[in-house]
Amino acid sequence: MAFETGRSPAVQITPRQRWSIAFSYMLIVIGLLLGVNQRDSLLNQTSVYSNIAAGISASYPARWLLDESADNVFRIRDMSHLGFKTTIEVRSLPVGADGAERNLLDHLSLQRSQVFIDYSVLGYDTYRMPDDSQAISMAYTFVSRDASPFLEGVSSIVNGLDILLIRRGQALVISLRAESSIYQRELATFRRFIENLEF
Amino acid sequence: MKTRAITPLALALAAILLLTLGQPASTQGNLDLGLERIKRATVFVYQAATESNSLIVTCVSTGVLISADGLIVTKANGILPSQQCGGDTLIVSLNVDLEEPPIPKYRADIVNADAGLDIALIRIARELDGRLIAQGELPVLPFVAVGDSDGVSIDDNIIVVGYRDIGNAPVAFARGTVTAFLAEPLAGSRTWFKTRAEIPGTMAGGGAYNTAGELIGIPTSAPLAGSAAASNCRYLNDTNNDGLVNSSDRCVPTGDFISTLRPIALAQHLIRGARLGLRVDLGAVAGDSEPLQNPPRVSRMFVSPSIRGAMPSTVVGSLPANTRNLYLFFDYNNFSADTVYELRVTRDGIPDTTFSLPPVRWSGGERGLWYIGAREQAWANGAYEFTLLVNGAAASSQKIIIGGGPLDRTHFSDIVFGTLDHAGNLIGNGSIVPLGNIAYARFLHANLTAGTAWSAIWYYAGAEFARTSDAWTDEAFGSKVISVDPTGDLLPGEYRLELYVEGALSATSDFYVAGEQGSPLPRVFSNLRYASADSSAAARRAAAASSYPTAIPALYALFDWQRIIAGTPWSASWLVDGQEFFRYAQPWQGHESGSDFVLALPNPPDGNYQLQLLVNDLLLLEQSAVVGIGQLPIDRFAEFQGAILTGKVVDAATQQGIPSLSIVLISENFDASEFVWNQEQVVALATTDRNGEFQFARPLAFDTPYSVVIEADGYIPNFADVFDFNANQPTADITIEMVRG
Repeated sequence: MAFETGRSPAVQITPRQRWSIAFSYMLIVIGLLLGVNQRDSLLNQTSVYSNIAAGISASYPARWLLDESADNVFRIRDMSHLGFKTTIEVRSLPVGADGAERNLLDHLSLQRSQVFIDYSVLGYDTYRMPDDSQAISMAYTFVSRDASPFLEGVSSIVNGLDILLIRRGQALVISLRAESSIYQRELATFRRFIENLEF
Repeated sequence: MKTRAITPLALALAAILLLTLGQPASTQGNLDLGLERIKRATVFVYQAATESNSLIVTCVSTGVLISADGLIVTKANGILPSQQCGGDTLIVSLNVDLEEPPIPKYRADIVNADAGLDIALIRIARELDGRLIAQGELPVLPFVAVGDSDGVSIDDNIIVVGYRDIGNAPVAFARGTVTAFLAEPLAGSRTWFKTRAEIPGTMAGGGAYNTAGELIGIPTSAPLAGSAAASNCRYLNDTNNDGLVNSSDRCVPTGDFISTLRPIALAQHLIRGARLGLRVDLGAVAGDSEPLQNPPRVSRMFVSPSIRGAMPSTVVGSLPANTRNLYLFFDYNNFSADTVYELRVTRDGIPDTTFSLPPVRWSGGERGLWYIGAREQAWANGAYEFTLLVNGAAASSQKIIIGGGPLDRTHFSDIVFGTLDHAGNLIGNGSIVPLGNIAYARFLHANLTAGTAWSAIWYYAGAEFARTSDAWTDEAFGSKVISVDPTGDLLPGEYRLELYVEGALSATSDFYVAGEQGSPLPRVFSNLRYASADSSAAARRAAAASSYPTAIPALYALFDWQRIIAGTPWSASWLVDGQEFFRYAQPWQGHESGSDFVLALPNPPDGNYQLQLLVNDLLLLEQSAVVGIGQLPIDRFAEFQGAILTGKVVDAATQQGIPSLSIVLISENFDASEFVWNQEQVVALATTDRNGEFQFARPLAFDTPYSVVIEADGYIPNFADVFDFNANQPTADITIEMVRG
């Protein structure tokens, strides 16, 4: 058996078809650009928090859950993250006349060691605030586990960072806590948060 | 107006609702659902001692969660440190799977307890590894409603829930009925519920529930120290470190089968105090009672057909047919909360389980007159024998015949004490007489004939000090007043009068002499006032007031006392908004007279506080003070009844559970579209476990439209303004599919 091979005649597309194809490509590109833009704007969308009594205002990622009910000034959490919910917290602490910054951080550590699993301080450092003032920072780690006794909760290793500054006889502690696997990424969000923080 | 968003979650919830509504809500179904909730709220408690760096189990109890924040009611025996149960750590095991034994999850602290009542309130306070649980961080736990045990009737059906074994069996229940009420001076005719439900000793401390699923009683028992019979004692640990676990080791007492329930009404003040976080500090004035050196003794056992206060109306040797009230009285001495007593009743030589009282802890004082009885319950005809056992040994017994016709016997009855007014009438309360020269007693007499020999013997502190013997000259029926005029004044303390007819005891009653002459009651306590200060010493100097602002550090109640001798039974009862949250009832231990007895109530919440001072159960003085707005904050959550929502979140493509995903439940005041990610709008949060399963352990209010929002990285947001629950739908288990995007 023999097969015959041959070339089919060239198909000519009309100018109108050519324009249609080009227009389709353009639409796809525009759509992609719009999508990327929309995504970026959604991701970078912020909400504003203001507490006149405490003299604090801040902008934070939109769709993070704002909580003013705890003993902190406020707390925001990224509830969409699967795993430990990245948390930024601002709380004020009373300062004694003789109280040093390290005393306050040690006090926080003692409190946390009673409630956090495997709580451990990683180290202290200085932190330069947006207004060029110096603050002290404390990095720490602990294990977080869903507390429900009726479920098979998943444990997460959490990294934390406290920024402590004392202004006008009051200490302000700005804290970041995030799952260790995304801690570096969330650090950028935390820095942006501090840049926009007014107190 | 709410906008209804149709999403996969909405469809799933709607399907659940339709399925539920399509089924008739059968009574049995409701009972089962109620029972499941009761089972979930039933916990197992280990008391453990730290030895050689490990925890050794010393005692066990069943317990019941009565609030979502981890408050547990259980028996005190096995919780409070004692010679038999010497542990210092309480481990709480929860039912994660109702078909499996409970799993140790937390540690608890004792917040309130009464060894005599054999009821303790403990609260989950630490993780199992000992870490503190921060306030508000404890997951909302399943709990049961506390019911009204005063509404229980004979033959009511009950369910007792607990554990049949030490940590090796799932939660179980036993059905039964209430067969009798037993009376004691502690709480009158409903001091104990008797039941024929088969309740193993390990169920002690668990809950007895009415058909509405409400907690109405606590099964209690008192395994005897040193009673290491194989049936009621288990060897769990190598306590002597010989490499073997055998009878040489210390065993964990479990007790025999239980047939008594302590009505929950008797624990209400403990529960209220624990719920409100109120602890009264009696200070050093009250002192600690010293351990009793002498063994407990019982004497003078007799039967009375009725009571007047806590005293017998008369003394009988037999009772007619259709007897419905019977009280067995006896004198007790050297008793304490560690004393275990038991009443065995036989009728015609056959054990009568209805009116027998199994071994239980002593709930009275150190010495006095006590009774065990039953009111408005049928006693069959027969020859009864009552045997009282104390710490496992027979201490006294008494026989009585019930049957035959009514008896027109000669007798005295209903003794009351007091003083005479100017018109010669007996005045007073009947059981307390102020200091003076003469004490009077009035009593009733019946069928006395002229010339009948009768006598009256007066005792002070257990010793006879006056006696009158004479031939009867009054009328056959009526009342008579007699008096005692000791050399010198009446001394403060305990007195007793015994009346005899023809040499047989016919009536007896006790009274106390305390305080100065007052009108109409003796003035034992005075100058009851309130102060707010930082310490007891400062409170004594502070000015008294009746109104205080919110958030004072402590509310102090101070009073003076006059002529009350050590050993006189007194009690202090503290109420808030008309409900008792603290009761102290012990023999007086201070000086005979003095001032500034202090009771401290740290951190009182807003409320209307009232302190009552009593002697021999008679209210002598009370005073109120208002803190803040004068009304307790409304704790809606503590009374919350509702539905439990559980479920699973899966990936729509793979049907695999999505772990660590958060589900936000929004208040009924907002739609999902109105949610602006503010905690104030959130009713509850749940996070899925490694299988994608979640549970809103907080009960959701019935007939309240909730909304749900789920946002997760990598998935299209899911939301719904969907569902509410009605009372026929106390639980729901839903599956939510999330679409990748």
